[in-house]
Amino acid sequence: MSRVPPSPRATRIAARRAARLRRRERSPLGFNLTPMIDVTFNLLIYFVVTTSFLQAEGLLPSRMARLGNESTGQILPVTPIRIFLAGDGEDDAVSIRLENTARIPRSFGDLYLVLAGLRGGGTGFDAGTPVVIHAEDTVAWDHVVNAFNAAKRAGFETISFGKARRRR
Amino acid sequence: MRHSARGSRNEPPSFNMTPMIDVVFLLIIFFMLVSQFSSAENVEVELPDPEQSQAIEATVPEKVILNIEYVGPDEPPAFLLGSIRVAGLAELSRRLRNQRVGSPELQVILRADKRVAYLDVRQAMEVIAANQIEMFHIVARPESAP
Repeated sequence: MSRVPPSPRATRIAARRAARLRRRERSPLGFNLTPMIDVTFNLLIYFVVTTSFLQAEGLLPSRMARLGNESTGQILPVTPIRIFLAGDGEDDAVSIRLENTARIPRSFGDLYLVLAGLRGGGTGFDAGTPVVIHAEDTVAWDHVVNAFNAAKRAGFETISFGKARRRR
Repeated sequence: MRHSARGSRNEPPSFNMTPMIDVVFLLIIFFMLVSQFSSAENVEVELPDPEQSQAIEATVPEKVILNIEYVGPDEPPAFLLGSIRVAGLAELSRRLRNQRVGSPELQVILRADKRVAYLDVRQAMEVIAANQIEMFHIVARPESAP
């Protein structure tokens, strides 16, 4: 029995098949990326979930006054500047009054201006003059911090807290 | 040309993963950099936000954080020394006294909610003063904060 030689077309097809097989065997050259991508996605999800954009916080340093008869009041050697904060009854409003001046501040920005004027206006007050904040018990802490901040901004160094006092 | 066109048609379809992996890595790096692991001591409170705030960002070496949490309009606030809830001012005083024994230069970071009544904060300050702690810091939002 004599073998019939394959036709040129069949030879071409066989060669192409062989080349494809070789290519297929050669192709898994790289390493498997799937586990790395899994881990990466897990990390991404973790960070997305746990990230919290915290509010910035700052500190207003203060020195605790020595205890006198008054709660955190100071034994004061000089006439202090006294700031009075009283609830205004409406919403969360507050009224501001200073013992040392007839001018009534309308806002905490205004309080700063009055305090800065007292400090630099030849009134005998300087940066070392103690400032005492007397707030009514029900006044929100936010207002007290605002008054403290205004005094600090005006350049006063000794600021303390006292109990509310009756209006004179 | 003819050969290569036929070859590409025969190859199994695949998409290029490289740009996606690049983007994912960049996202991970971004989140790693911006994420701040919030301390359990910093309880979530609404901090006072004064006009032209003079509050500065600073680190205090020997510190204890006193959180005063707003509970409600007619409710007394919650006092937390660090993350530990204290039952009242007497317990607060006892814990502060104990902490001060270990570190005489102890300073108090006062993180009070801005809605808390002054009376409650003043009482806490009285306790701090009674325990001979001289320095305390009021926490407020700094000026640069949005």
